[in-house]
Amino acid sequence: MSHALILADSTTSEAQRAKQLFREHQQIIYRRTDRLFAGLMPLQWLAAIATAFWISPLTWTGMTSRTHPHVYAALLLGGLITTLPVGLAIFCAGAAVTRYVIAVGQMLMSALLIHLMGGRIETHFHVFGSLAFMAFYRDWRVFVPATLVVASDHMLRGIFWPQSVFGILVANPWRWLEHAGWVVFEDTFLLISCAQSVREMWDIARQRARLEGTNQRIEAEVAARTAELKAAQKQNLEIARRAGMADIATNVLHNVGNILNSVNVSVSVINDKLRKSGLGDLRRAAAMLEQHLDDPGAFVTRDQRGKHLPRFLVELSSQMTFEEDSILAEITTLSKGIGHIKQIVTTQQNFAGGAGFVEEVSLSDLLEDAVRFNAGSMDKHHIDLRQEFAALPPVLIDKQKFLQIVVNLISNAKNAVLESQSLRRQITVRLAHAAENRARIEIIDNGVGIPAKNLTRIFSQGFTTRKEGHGFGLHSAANLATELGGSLKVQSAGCGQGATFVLEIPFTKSGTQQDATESLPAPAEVSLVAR
Amino acid sequence: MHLEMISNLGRKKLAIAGWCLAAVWLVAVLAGFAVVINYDLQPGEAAVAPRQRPAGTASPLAADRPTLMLFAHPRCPCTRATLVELNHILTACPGTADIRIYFATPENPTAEWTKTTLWNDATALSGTTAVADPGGALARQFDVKTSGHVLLYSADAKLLYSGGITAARGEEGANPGRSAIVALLKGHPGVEPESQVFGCPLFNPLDSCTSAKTCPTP
Repeated sequence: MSHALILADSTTSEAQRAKQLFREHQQIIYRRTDRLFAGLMPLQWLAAIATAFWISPLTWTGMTSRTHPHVYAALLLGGLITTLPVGLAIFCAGAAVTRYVIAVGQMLMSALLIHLMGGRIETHFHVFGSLAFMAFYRDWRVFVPATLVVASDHMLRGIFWPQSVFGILVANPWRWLEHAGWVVFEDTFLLISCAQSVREMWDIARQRARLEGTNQRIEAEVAARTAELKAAQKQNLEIARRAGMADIATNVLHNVGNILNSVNVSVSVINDKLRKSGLGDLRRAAAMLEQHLDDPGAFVTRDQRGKHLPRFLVELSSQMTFEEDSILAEITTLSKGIGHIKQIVTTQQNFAGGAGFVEEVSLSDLLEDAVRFNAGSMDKHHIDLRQEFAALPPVLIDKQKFLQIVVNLISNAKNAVLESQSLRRQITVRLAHAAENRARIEIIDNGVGIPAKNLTRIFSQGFTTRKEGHGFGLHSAANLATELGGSLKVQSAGCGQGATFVLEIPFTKSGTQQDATESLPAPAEVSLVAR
Repeated sequence: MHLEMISNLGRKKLAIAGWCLAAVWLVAVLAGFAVVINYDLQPGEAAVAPRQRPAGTASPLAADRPTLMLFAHPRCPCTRATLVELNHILTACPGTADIRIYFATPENPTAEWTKTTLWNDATALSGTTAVADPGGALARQFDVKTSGHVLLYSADAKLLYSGGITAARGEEGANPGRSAIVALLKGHPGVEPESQVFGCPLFNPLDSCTSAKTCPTP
């Protein structure tokens, strides 16, 4: 659909909505004014009855009295005039017939009141007051029946009983027009007022329709953008996750590489020792003895070389024993290195492919594994890595996600202390019970620290201060913490003051296992706290 | 869609029923008005006042100007409009007539019977004299039968006008009686000397009450 077509469609829709809103507003006003008259008209009726009782309660014939017919007129005729408009206002509020009947009824009530008040000029103001009340409808059409009632009353009474309305026996047949003219005079102003009100109502309806249209478009735009953002976020999470996995793989390879170095050294040492061992001397001594096998005793006692052979063998044995011990020691070292490599690889295999599954684990065991991943590097760089683990019960958690976070944080702490000028390099991994069903893991280092300006963006994707960094590690860790329903915070007093990363995660105690997807808590905030 | 059509049809029927009901209602209200107006336009019993004021009446004529005699029932609500019209006459022609208002009362009236709102209104009109007419003796003498009846006699005792000064029962406003009297007091003869009277009958043939003792307390 072209932009012009969409615009035209939107304009038509707004015009329709404006019309609907205008009609709704109009109905509200009609109903409200109907209710107003439903309250007013019974009061007028009571006023008419009171007026009749006050002005003419009794009529007299000589000394005999009886109730004045005006009292009956107020009671019965007033009641008749009031009943239908009020009934319609209650049961058919908002209908056209209701307001027209109310308009007619109001004018008839004016006529009755004027009559009961003996035609007092002052009572005629009720007509004009009623017209003003009718203007509340903001419907010019209600003035038509009202004016027609006044005009017809004056016209008919002017023709048949002129003295009852004009006070003269023979009136000008067009005099009713003068009276009707004054009503029309007021109508004119009220009609202008109604027209202005209706115009304003249309303006309000159009503005509201336009606003609603704009809101709808904005909401649609926001929904589309939100969907795009969610897709992008999902993609980023996947990238971060992969990056996190790569971090672990890098750590594994790095540690394995370190151990392989020592394995290589051990192999070289063994090789050198074997090449330089007394085994050649032994072979030569054996060959010498082989030449004198017919009389080995004479060779040992008379031959000059044979006389030194026993001592030589004793010394050679002693040397080879030493060499054997040395080689065995190297082999032990080699075996340990290979065992370490095997352990690292096994640990990695344990965690690989386990994402998304909660299982019963010990958090302290997981932290020890995480420390083990970095152990070689810690030893190499003489980093004092302390472990302070509180006793927590086994918990149900996605251990791969947890491990990715902690390995990343330990690696991050290692880099921070390596960049520091401090001679005492120290990292503390602390496990504590934060609150009910929440564990608190602190990775504390005395490294380079974090300047305040970086605290706010340290978890942002792509943010890094290291040349070889890719800016995914902490971002990934923060996302994973959120996925675990926890939070990851950082505290640092600034450059050279070290840093503390605080991971808080909720956990389900073993024995209350539930479906992993069900147990996923609501995303928590990743917050930053300057220390 | 079908429901909406049924709903529209129902609304249309309701509207038609509403309009029909409104038409019936309007006819009934107009009929009610016709009854009320008809009552208000019913004049009192016609009276034949003496053309020449009888001699020896309890209330002598003024010698220098016409005398306006208004006969009233002290409790007739219609007569309030008559007093309003009389006030118009007084305003239009101040001091041109000797105005007396006779309130027909029982023969021995109590204060409750005479000191009514109408009596107070009458005495409040400047230039008028309110007088009790025990047993309606004076009214009977002038053959006046309806409250609000006005007789205007000239200084030489000739009847100038006999009738009411309202257009209907209790209706204020310009009327032929008021116009005629104002014209006569201003010295413009040739007006209609009679008019219908709208008000309560002063006497009830079936009324056994003729004295304060036998009349009920109002």
